[in-house]
Amino acid sequence: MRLPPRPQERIDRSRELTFFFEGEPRHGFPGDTVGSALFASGRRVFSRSFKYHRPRGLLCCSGQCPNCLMQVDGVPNVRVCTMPLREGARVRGQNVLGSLDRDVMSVVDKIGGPFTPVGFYYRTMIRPRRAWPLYERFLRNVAGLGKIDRGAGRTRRFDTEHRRVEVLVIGGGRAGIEAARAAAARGEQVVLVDEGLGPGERAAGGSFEVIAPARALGIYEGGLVPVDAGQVLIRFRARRIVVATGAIEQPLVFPGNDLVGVMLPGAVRRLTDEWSLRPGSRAVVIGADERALSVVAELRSAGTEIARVVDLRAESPRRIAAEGKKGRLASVLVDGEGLDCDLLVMSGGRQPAYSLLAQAGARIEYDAGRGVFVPIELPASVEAVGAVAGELPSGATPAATYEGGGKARGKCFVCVCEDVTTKDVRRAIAEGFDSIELAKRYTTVTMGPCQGRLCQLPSVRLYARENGTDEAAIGRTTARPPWAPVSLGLLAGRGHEPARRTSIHERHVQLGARMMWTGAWRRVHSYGDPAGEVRAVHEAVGAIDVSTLGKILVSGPDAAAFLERLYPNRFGDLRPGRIRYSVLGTDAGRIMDDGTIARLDDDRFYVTTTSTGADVVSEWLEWWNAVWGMGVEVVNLTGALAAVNVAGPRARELLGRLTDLDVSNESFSYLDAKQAHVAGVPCLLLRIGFVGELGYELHCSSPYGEYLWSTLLERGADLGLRPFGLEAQRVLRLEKQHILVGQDTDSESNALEAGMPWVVKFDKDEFVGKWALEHVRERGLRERLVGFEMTGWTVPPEGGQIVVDGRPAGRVTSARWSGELRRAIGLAWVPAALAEEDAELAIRVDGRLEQARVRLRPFLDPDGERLRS
Amino acid sequence: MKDVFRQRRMWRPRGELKRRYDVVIVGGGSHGLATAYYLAKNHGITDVAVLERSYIGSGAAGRNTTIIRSNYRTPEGVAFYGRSVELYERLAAELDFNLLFSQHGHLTLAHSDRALITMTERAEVNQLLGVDSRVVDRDGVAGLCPELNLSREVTWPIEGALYHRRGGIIRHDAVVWGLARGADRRGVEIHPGTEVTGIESSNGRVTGVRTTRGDIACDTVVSATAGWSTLVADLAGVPLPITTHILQAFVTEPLKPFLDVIIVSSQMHVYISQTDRGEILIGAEIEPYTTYLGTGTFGFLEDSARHTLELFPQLEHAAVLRQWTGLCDLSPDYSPILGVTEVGGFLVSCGWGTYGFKAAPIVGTTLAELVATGRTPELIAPFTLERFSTDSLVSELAAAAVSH
Amino acid sequence: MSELEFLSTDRTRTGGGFEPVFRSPLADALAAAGPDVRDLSALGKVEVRGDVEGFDGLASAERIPLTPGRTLFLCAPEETARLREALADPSRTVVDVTGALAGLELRGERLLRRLTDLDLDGLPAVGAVARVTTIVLRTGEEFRLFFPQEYARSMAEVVLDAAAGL
Ligand SMILES: Cc1cc2nc3c(=O)[nH]c(=O)nc-3n(C[C@H](O)[C@H](O)[C@H](O)COP(=O)(O)OP(=O)(O)OC[C@H]3O[C@@H](n4cnc5c(N)ncnc54)[C@H](O)[C@@H]3O)c2cc1C
Ligand code: FES
Repeated sequence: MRLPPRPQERIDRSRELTFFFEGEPRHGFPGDTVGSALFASGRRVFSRSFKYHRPRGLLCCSGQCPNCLMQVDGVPNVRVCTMPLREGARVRGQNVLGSLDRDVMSVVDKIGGPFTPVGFYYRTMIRPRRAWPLYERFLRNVAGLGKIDRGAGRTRRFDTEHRRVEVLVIGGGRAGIEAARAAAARGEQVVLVDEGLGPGERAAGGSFEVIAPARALGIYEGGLVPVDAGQVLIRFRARRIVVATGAIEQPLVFPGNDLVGVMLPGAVRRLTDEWSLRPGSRAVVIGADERALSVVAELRSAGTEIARVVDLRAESPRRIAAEGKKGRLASVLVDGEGLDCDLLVMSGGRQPAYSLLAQAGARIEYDAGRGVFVPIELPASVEAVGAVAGELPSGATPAATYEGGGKARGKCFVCVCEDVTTKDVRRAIAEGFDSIELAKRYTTVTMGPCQGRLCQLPSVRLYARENGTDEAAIGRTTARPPWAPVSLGLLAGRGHEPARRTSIHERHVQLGARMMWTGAWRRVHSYGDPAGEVRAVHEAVGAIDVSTLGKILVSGPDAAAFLERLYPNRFGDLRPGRIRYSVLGTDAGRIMDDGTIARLDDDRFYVTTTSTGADVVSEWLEWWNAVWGMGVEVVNLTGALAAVNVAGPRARELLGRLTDLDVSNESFSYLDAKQAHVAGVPCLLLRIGFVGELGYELHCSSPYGEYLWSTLLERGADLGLRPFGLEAQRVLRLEKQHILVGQDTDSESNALEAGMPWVVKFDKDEFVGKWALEHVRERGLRERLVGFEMTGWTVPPEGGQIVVDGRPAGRVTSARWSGELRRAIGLAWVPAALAEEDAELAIRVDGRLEQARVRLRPFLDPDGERLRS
Repeated sequence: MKDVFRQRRMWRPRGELKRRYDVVIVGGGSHGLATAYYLAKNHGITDVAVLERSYIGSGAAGRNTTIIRSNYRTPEGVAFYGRSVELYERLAAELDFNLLFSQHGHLTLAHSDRALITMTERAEVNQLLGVDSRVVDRDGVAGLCPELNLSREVTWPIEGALYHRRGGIIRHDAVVWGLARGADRRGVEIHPGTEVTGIESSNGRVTGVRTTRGDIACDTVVSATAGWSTLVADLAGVPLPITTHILQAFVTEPLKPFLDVIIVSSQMHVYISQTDRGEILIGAEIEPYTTYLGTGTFGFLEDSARHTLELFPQLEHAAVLRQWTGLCDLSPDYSPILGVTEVGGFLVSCGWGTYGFKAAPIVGTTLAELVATGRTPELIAPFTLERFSTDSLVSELAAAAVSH
Repeated sequence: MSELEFLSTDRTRTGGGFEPVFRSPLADALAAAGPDVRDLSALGKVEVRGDVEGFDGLASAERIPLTPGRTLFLCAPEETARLREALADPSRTVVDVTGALAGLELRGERLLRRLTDLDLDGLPAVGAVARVTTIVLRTGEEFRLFFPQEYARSMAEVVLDAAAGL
């Protein structure tokens, strides 16, 4: 079916490629697109339309319209006219019930029914309400084009690349190439991208780089131009962006304008020149400018007979209508003159492809002289050249529509993507959707896959005519990026998410730990036996990796004053070598974090935060430091240091084996901080007790974390040491009623109601959030965070409700079974009236109410004897 | 079926502005139109003008991702949104306009133990207040949405979810048009292309508004201007504790039915649904900055795509068709601000953040009642502007972020 | 307690049955890497806040300005102590970040383009590499990356994966 070899053809006839259409083998050549090869194999129907399931064929042959969307190798909605042909490609039609040639759904086109009028679905299927789900199921099934394979995983590799260039030229037509050449000649570094295959050759010999086929998706924030280059998304940042996207041939609006065999001039040109195909045997050509009409020569050279040429500059037909058989063009009527033909080339002028410019901030205005919208007032560092800038040959402005009485009553499409006809538009206007934006939403014109490329201008023309005004008054709808559809796969790229691991991570994995996420950190949930881990801490000694704790060094002569002003607790009087706990409050007095602060010497404090709070607290400190101009140094050491908490009655014995430091209770007491070598590694030792037993936190430089951990495990084995994870820690701290910020508190909790009035020093002159806490004190406590113990054996759900009079009145924030206490215990927010020792709580568990009693003091070791021993 | 073919105007063409109305509503979004509709329908107050600076539904109403649900966290919120969902369920029949309300359920994913606690809390509160809501485990999630990737070898493994059977999505424009038609047919005047540029008051009471099309006298002004609330309240001299942010969303090319339930993941900053048109609709978290520029960012597309594909790797080839942004008026406790202000006759509906569309009918009914009776209905009493000076916040923080 | 020894990696003591082992955060992650990727984590790294304008204490140390007022010095592992001492000055805060930062050396501009949006002709610079804040240095086609050690494995995975895609 090919013509004899032609000078500009792009196919390599020496080699044949085999691909499959609906399972049947077909052939093409290298240089073909899937579309051209299918056309060569005799296929004319490429898709079925969205609503009416009308057969559709190649219209633009340049990736602008919805007519050739097919499924290729499992990928839906591929425009086959621009998709390079590959050996073995599997191609299928989509949105059909049956086949492309015989689609059962096309009855919709013939009988009309409720699907015909625009917005039909707003008016129907309202009653009875019970039936709506059924109707809806049906609606959903008929909507949509491509199909997703539910079971599929990710199959392709997509990468992201970042490029910086001096000049980025978008579009490789004549103007783009000229601009690229000129810039390169000035010594600028230039990259040109084009969505077609051609410019590579056209630019040959130029001293600039060409990337094609590659589509610029938009001009985004900060001049970012993402380019879809197939398997790679290139994110360009250019000093200068030259937009040379040309102009898009516009269809004419007449009955039957969507029939298979109606084409735009560009399609004809590409079929004949590039792939040596004859677009039809007998043609009618109707065009508004020179370029459109010049296809006549191409057609002749391809052996197509020309039945009639209508030059819209010279004549102004009132009526045009195309008629077909089985959806394929059979004849054209021009003002009543019937012409048999199988090809109708139409062109209503060319519309500058301004979308990228509009997104970049250019103003777009209607140019009445040329009958198109043109960009004006470009933003800095963006240029437009060639047709997109409005450099177009003068042509005629076609009529808004060529419908008219007579016998041609076929559908007359304004928008082929969404199957919107002139009748629909008129109806929308008559119903009151009289502004273009409202009409767009009602009729969905410009909202389909072509993104307005082929329907924006015709619909504005029609709107102007029907409203008795002009195009300028109607305006255009806002074009929304991206400029071309882009797959989620390409956007996602490789999809790695940064993850933080402690320097001891690998050892945990070796120990068979179950890992979990806390923020970006990977942490140990347990080593398989949380209850046993808890027991080890109570009875012998345990070790937990707490490297994720936030660690911030605050130093400088004003460091004490700074912390004093920031935290509700007092730090000015903290002696070097001592540690104090505090919560950190927001300006509104809410708890944002908590942790211990050790004073290392006069000018230096070591602040710890929760694992998830490290960055926020560090920024918070820096911010206040700047606000108050205190000149304190804030250094976030979170990742720099590994930390292990060694806790349990035998912790001292273990530590004694590893260090020269005097670890006796007298010289290293509870809440002391010391520096010493442990197992040969310099450490900061903090004697604190989050888990309630005698314990030491050892902080050392990260690269030694793993060594320190292994040594502890090794030297502690005979003492019964066990590593423990977060789950065991949660139980242990709950037995002590130590809170977990973020779990036991939320963004509204304050220290007073959370039961920690002792960390709030109202007698300080000032501290962040003081006024708010004073207000809370004055208004009285409304709710309280308290401990509770279940009367029965059930552990209530965390998040469970305290019920008073059948209404939610409080909530359980933590709850666990304590093996040590042989009881279910927890923390809960309760109305202040219930915050009394022994008060009874009703907690909802599986829909029933279970009893609990309030416990205001730690369940275990309430006086902290174990901690201090 | 007859009405389907009969061509009938939705509303009267815009007329001249009168010099005086009983009630002026600023903002032709879902809240402004709902208030007008219920004023006319429930209270027979029809001397009402809705003034809209652009076209109706041009603001967040026409840009939002339309999630409708009531599984909130606070008892006040649950009761309020619960009533709104009920109203929405009946609204299509009431307006005789199909709103394409697609109630296929709403799944909020939990990727950690801690998230499960929040879900449990919501489920328990919801159940106590009679809202259909429960926590489901991994198997439960798999049963409700077999398409989800439940592998543990991902960044955010799914540990469970909060399931809300009555959650759904709706066609936003239909809601706007249906309400506008309902209001118009009852005599309310709708004035697109009419921007309010000033609010007049004397002795602490509203006396009228100034607009780009002339001045109007009135006793009551309702500002339902969402993303523009602070600007409009400013005209009345009422400061609002609100920050305005942009929120982005996008749709893919339409696909055959793939996903019925709505999938929300606050931790991954993404939520996904499929509309009746077949588009996969994806949204994210609000942007941290304020701007009225309305341009979307590419970073948003990339992040959302990455997160979406972790949940649904099958969507690798689904192609993004268009993206857009809208404005969100965020209050400090993520609950709305409704009703009276210190200026007599100046009422507000604002503080809607990313979740106000679902509230349109309840806002409309309660504000209409307030205008008609002068009394604040009980359902909205917790949401007064005054709560910020009495420290009586209604914190939805755990429920609203990204959940819409 | 004037010096914060626990921040340094070169103050360990061997003896008494203890032999501390410095373990690079990249040790496991780079096991499978080719010769084009080198682990620089053991290099001495010292961050200084304050003025280093007139500093000429250790000629062999490499100086990388991070922000006005913040400078990173790189040196051979055994020189770290000398560098710290030389820098010590009441007007500056000197922090040994040897243990805090992992280091990677890579070859090839194309590989870097797959990892970062930074202007590769404008290095050194601090910016996101694989979404992790990283200090990036360049010598010809050789690039050095320094980033928080806790991201080491994550970063190595991304780098090796990107290289595989070229
Ligand atoms: C991307 C996005 C997704 C969202 N998703 C959801 C969701 O899933 N579920 C949900 O419930 N909510 C969602 N929301 C929030 C919801 O859309 C809004 O809270 C809600 O629509 C606000 O009420 P409205 O419709 O009345 O506002 P709008 O539609 O914004 O109405 C305000 C109107 O006031 C007009 N106006 C402003 N100033 C003036 C003036 N001076 N004079 C005259 N008119 C003026 C504006 O033009 C505008 O039309 C989302 C929001 C966005 C942006
Ligand atoms: S024919 Fe392929 S996109 Fe138009």
